[in-house]
Amino acid sequence: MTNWLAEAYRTHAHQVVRRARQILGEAAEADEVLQEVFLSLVDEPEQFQRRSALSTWLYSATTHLCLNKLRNRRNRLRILEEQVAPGRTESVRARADDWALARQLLASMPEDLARVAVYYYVDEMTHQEIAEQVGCSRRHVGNLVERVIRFGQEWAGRQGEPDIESPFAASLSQPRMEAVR
Amino acid sequence: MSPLRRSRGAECLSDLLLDRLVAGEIADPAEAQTHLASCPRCAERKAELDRVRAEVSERPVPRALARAFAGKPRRRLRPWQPALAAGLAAAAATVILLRPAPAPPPPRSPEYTGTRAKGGGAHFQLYVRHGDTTRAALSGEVVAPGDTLQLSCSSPEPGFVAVLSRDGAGTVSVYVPGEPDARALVPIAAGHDVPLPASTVLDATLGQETLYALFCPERLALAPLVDELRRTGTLDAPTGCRLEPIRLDKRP
Repeated sequence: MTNWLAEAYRTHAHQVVRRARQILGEAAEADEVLQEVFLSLVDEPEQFQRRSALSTWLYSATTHLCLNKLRNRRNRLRILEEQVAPGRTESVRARADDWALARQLLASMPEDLARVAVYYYVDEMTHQEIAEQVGCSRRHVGNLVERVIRFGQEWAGRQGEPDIESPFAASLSQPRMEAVR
Repeated sequence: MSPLRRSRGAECLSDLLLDRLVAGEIADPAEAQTHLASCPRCAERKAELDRVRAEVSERPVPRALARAFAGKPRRRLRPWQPALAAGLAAAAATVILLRPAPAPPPPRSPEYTGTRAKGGGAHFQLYVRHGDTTRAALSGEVVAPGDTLQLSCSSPEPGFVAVLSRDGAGTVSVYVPGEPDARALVPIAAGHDVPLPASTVLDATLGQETLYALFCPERLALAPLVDELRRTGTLDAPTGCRLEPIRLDKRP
């Protein structure tokens, strides 16, 4: 039962790691996602029904786990903010850390939009590919992408960051920090 | 403007297609291969994919996965305990405040076993509060005077922690424990993202600063660690401990 999974790990683990790092920006959490994805397949191999390529299934599972972690991270940040010492009185404008902003935005989105946002902006899939990934029509993907764009614009406006220029994909795929090890 | 943007051209390959191409899942790869040969953007993304694939293939399979693939039963962890951040305010070279943790840590996967060899699988996460925003941060982070640092620790086992610092002027400070007269590492509960019992407001000294986040199974004395950092400018992990250096670039 597990031989094919060991082989799948050998041939596909890097896909999970790379995408999890892109979405989360944190190497240790990406490794956790790698373990969780493949352990879930060991526990419930029937999840992957072989109606699609394994890469397609792994994309979906990885996206789901990463979005959960982003939401958990947002909750943790709130907890930490409650216990962090209050800042000094002088006002220092926050840097426009696009990668951090993009992840905050993803964590704020409803699940269906966040998944589409990852596929569209991180993986840069076509509408057809997203439709196959999500299991809906291309037209519906178009509607979802429009909702993602509106959500992002409104979210950025609420953050008071109307001048963010750097691309989301670039900010995620080119993390400017090294992993803590 | 939303921080969401795309960079691909109309003819470019998605990451999914690139991954499927490498995995041999594309029945007729000729068209994609042709594009790949002529598009610098896609070639660059493919190179990044290959780089990660090479890196991951060189790593051993995580222990929990190796056991699972071999059909062996997995070790189940006990339920996670609430965070037990100690709570008294104090100050060191910089301002350090302590507060009790307001809530238990968020739920976590029972499958997390920690795959790192040293320090029993513990690892640290740094959070930086800048102005009104708090962000998760990694080594190499650009920070500013007045930013507040907070670390959390994830470990399947309880232990003892400390955070030492050496700033751009070579000054060594103890950020955790926060008490000025602390003599040893402080206890930390097992759990995921358990906040350390002190946060730190950065002072005005600019330049490279390195934090040394230390997790040990035993309550070691602080003085030898501080002395080693002062003498050598760096710190080695004591036997059985996990040490994570986190470099910060403090700019105005």
